[in-house]
Amino acid sequence: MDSKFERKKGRVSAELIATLILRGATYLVILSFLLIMGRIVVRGAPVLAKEGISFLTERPKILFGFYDENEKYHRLSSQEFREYQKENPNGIILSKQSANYSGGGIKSPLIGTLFLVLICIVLAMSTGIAAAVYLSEYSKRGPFIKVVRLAIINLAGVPSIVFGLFGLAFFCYFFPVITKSAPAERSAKAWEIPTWMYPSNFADEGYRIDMADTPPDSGSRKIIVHKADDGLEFSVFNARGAIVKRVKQYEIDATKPTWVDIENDLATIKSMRDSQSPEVFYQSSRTVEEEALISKLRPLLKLKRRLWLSFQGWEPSMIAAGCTLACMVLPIVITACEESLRAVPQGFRDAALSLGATQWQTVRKSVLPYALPGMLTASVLGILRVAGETAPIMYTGAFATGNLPWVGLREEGVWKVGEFFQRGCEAMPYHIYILSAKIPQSDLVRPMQDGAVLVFMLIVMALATTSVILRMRIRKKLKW
Amino acid sequence: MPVVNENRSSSEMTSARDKNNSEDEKLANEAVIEVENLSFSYDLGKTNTLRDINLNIPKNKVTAFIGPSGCGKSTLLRCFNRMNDTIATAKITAGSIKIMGSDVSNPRVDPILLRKEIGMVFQKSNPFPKSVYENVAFGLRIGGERNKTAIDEIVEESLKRAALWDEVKDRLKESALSLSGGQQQRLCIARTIAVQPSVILMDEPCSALDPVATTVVEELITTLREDYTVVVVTHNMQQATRVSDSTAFFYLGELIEYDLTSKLFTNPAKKQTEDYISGRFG
Ligand SMILES: Nc1ncnc2c1ncn2[C@@H]1O[C@H](COP(=O)(O)OP(=O)(O)O)[C@@H](O)[C@H]1O
Ligand SMILES: [Mg+2]
Repeated sequence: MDSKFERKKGRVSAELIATLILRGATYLVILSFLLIMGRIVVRGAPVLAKEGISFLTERPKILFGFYDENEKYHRLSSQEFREYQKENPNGIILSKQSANYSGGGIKSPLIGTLFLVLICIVLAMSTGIAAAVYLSEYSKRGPFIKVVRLAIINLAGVPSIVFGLFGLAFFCYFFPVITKSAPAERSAKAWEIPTWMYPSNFADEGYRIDMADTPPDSGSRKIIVHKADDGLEFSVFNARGAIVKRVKQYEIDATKPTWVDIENDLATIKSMRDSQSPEVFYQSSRTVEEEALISKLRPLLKLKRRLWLSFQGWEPSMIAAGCTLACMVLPIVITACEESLRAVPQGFRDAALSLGATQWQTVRKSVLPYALPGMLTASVLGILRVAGETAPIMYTGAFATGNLPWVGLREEGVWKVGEFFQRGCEAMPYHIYILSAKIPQSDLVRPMQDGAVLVFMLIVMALATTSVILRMRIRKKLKW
Repeated sequence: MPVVNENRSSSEMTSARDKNNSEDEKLANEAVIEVENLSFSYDLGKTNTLRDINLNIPKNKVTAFIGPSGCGKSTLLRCFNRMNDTIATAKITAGSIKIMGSDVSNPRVDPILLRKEIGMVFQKSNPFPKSVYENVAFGLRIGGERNKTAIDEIVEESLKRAALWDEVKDRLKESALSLSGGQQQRLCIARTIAVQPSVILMDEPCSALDPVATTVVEELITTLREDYTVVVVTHNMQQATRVSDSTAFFYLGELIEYDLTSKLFTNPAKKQTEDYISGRFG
């Protein structure tokens, strides 16, 4: 062929090589995806099939592995092991091994992760939306806003382990908290909250225990214990010396207090009290014994506690871990929210303002409602990624407790919600880390590792897919 | 230039204008907005977008602002209801604007109250993606009106006033976005009217509409002058002649000529005006 459009040889091969390289790189992505997924599925699926739903609904347990006299291998949880021993009292147990967390399921880490993500969503969304609204609707351009934006961009690039350490230093050991017990020793600074700031003016701040053999007269901020014929009688005086409460021993549920204890405490205090002059007694602060007795009497006499504002942090706990995660995703959330705000047509703002709306009314009525769906999905999508993070939570709130976070929180019929958040919890990524790096590796633990990784992967993928679908739906629905 | 309007409405309006002309010979007759030596800058005074503007806008009249694009018509309009407040670096650098006797650039003036008195209709119709009813009720609700019957009444009245009631009375609950472009623009006018302003500013209200919808809106504008003072920005000179009583011609941030519409278009005093209206530039 001798056309002027004839193909030149060299160009074709260069073209071919380029195509091959580009295609090869693409295939490499698919290959690594398949390898990772395939390995996880192949190893995890049989575990899930064998364990069934109990893998999700049981807490991690200790697992025993041993050979019996017939050289049959058994893998039994501690309960099953006990039953086995009962049934075969004379059975021989050979080369017995035990491994923590290798039996049962992954209920508590699943629930822990759920709570961490929920806390993170609530904190990051509320702060993120507020900041985004301020930045895009209120702030005027200027050097300060430039600095803020720079900070947001840089925050997004901070490695997650740094967030973990920051969370440990700040939320666990420095953050100001209101505590009911005396400030911890590590507290950077603590103030006792003055009584007038309490919800009611009755607080046991400064109360001292005093004893009287005669019927009580008056005195300020005293609990006078009086021995009457029908048992002890407590009279509580407030700061002005007025009696606010008089309770008899038999009026208090007799089953509750251990009255022997209380009487012992009283005796100790009395002997100390007798060895001091009253002036010295009332000048010094409450003694340990007095503190102990007051803490026993507090629920009985329904006294209010003292409160401190203390820079001591929450210790490693769910709330500290949730805050750390929230800090980590804040830049993502703010960016996503700002984008959604920018997508709201300027005309909506102009229209509202021209009708005499204030800035806040404009934001609330004709900007936020249209930005909110986009904000929610976009930021939830970003936040869900933290479900897989280990570094930020391993110092700040993830523990290998094996317990559900609400166990033992119900005291005398009352749920202690505040304490719930101050507890640590298990979490999926941390659990996998423990399973694969912190406990001795053996065949006992392997099925648990494989199962946990598969479940975790499935959850993260499902969440990501849902939020992508959700976002597309809302994009389609909200058109203007 | 294409002639977009039918003769019918055009001649009707001309006669209406002629009648008004005989009633008031002077423009300054009971001015609602008085602009004095106004200069305005978008960049804190480095360059003045508007320079030394003087004009009085008469009550219950339609005043048109014409001029080539970028000459500052919208800017001046947005000075009246202080919509330029949203731009951080925007600033009146000299002169004053008095609206119904009070200086609006005074820091003690509350722009919220001002904007309730001076409504605005935008170039691109911008109904909220809510129902027709809620769109009209928006201004009342943010103003704190709770009474359902009162709102119902004002919504109906405003839609009637905006010549939209017959078309939408059965679809008040439908989304405003389901209306046609012209209906949406009239809805925006109804929404503005519902707040009961005394001045309505319109920034090229018909530039995104087809000829038929334009006619309807133009007719509406001429009837609005009975109750409101209307300022309408347009780049369409036929439109200015059809709807307005007086016309101001702007060029490069300056007010070149301001006169009765009939006079400005038939017998302009300035060369630039003559060039512009005869289509020689712009
Ligand atoms: N928000 C703004 N910031 C800075 N300059 C602006 C802004 N809006 C308009 N301008 C400038 O001001 C001048 C007048 O604009 P505008 O009033 O919109 O003109 P018109 O409405 O007459 O077409 C133009 O040169 C435009 O570039
Ligand atoms: Mg304009």
